[in-house]
Amino acid sequence: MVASGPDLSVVIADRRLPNPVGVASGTFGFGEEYADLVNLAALGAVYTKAVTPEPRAGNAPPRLAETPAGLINAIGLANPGLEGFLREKVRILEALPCPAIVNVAGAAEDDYVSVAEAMDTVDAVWGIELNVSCPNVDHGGMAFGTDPAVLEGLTRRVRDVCRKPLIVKLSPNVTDIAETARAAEAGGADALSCINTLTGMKVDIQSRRPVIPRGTGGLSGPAIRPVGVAAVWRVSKAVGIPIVGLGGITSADDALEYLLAGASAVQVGTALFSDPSVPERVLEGIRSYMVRERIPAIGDLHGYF
Amino acid sequence: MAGPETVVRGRSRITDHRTVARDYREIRCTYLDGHAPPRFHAEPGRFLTILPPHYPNPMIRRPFAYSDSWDEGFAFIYEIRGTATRDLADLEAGDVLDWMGPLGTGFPRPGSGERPILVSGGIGIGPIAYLARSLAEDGLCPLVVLGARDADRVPDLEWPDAAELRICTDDGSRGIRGSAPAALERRDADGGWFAACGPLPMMKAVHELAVESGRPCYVSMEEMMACGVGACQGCAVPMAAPSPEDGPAYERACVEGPVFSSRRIAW
Repeated sequence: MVASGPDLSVVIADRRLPNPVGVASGTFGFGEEYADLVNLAALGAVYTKAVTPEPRAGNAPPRLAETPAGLINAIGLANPGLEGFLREKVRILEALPCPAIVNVAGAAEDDYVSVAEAMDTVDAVWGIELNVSCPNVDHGGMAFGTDPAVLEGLTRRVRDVCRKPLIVKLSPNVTDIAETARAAEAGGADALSCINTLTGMKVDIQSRRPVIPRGTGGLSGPAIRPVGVAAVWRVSKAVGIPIVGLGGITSADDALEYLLAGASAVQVGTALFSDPSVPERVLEGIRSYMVRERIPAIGDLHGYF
Repeated sequence: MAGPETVVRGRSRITDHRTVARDYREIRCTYLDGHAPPRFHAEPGRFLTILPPHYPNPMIRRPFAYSDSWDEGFAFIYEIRGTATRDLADLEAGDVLDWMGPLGTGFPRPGSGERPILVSGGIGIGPIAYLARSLAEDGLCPLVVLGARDADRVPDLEWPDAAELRICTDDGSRGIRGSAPAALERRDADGGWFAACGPLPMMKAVHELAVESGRPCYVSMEEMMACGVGACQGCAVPMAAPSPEDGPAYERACVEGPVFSSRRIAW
């Protein structure tokens, strides 16, 4: 055991995550589904499935379509709702050996505010991630994340009821992500997750219909990694708050691209489906890189370009 | 009914890889450390996911129902359909598979006095063959109705002596002409306990026969999956609403399924 290894912790607002490698919302349920397969104690954070005020069944199947190095999903924010969360999921989060960050979504501003307010009183919730970038619902979702003025207003309303770390998850489906990033920061966000899925479509040429009944879904996986890295880099030049980078991370090298582009933490999502050991391997790979390159803390990875 | 006790990610060595019908292959493999992990119950109807051999091209694990499971290994039957299964078909004895399992909820057991009627269509053969052997080991005499497109696609498998086999093909090139449910008569349903795996219209027809006869029926649903462990909710199966004013409801093929009571499905 080396006493003076690199400092892998990440500070958001006034709180500290033990390490920079979390698991992305929507890919990890509420933390129990992967309990047999993932060393939960090694995670920097679990970002939960989105919670909305009311229970949601989700979209009609098929909800998935695989594309080159990518996966299109249109789950539709299926979740047990706020009451169901408080009744069934809080005890799971209480038992997690790592911080739990609850992803919050809604169809209207009041939805976000009511869920965020409730989360503020739950001890097992480390912080919240505001989902203003889901491309797979008819109301709300991405609409809140693409108009800077609307996003700033929403972030401010949530900020007013939430004392815990507030992370806003940005959509890449905008002309200039730096604008929405600045809006979220102005509204009081403590950090930004960057990026949610890209709008995508796969067409079944036999049926001559989109594979996903609603037409489009959200594209994730290695296919979007360069888009995510570029977005993190642009956002890092526009704001002064920490950035959580995600999109297509499958290895420590991928995660280091994000960290060098300006992220302070990362999330692993789609890669978990194929290889549940990715988060732990990413963390170990970041640690050995920092030891080898004599980099004392995550923040020292920033500023090279 | 078997619940998900412990999900394991493991590696196994292929010991036998053979063609069981045109485009259908069976892979048999043994655990690298010689025996199954503890609390490992890969009952009929449960499944495993296989990492595509050339991961990440393609990337997502493919689900396959167990066609057999024993202390030292397991087997599954697959159809060569796309890139991942074509790559799987290139593997040989000695090659190693990366799998996750056992996953999902399998078939329950028939009640005493019930006669199992197992209906397989196409690639549904794997779990149905496994179920037939397992029921025969319990002293039951299942009727197995095996549907295939044509004679070339009738799987070459060993069946227990206790099983009564009815083969049918869409083109009549072997056995009864027509789809598997057509080979069933009303009188077969007396005291019957139905289990079906195959194309949706086939399973629906079996379900309707079971409902008309007031007999239990279980079906194994196939859906595209991403995680296989219940986290992503990608493999939603539409459930019949308890009442008309209820909105749509879904269950996960990978946890609550793939085997469901056919009366729960929104056909």
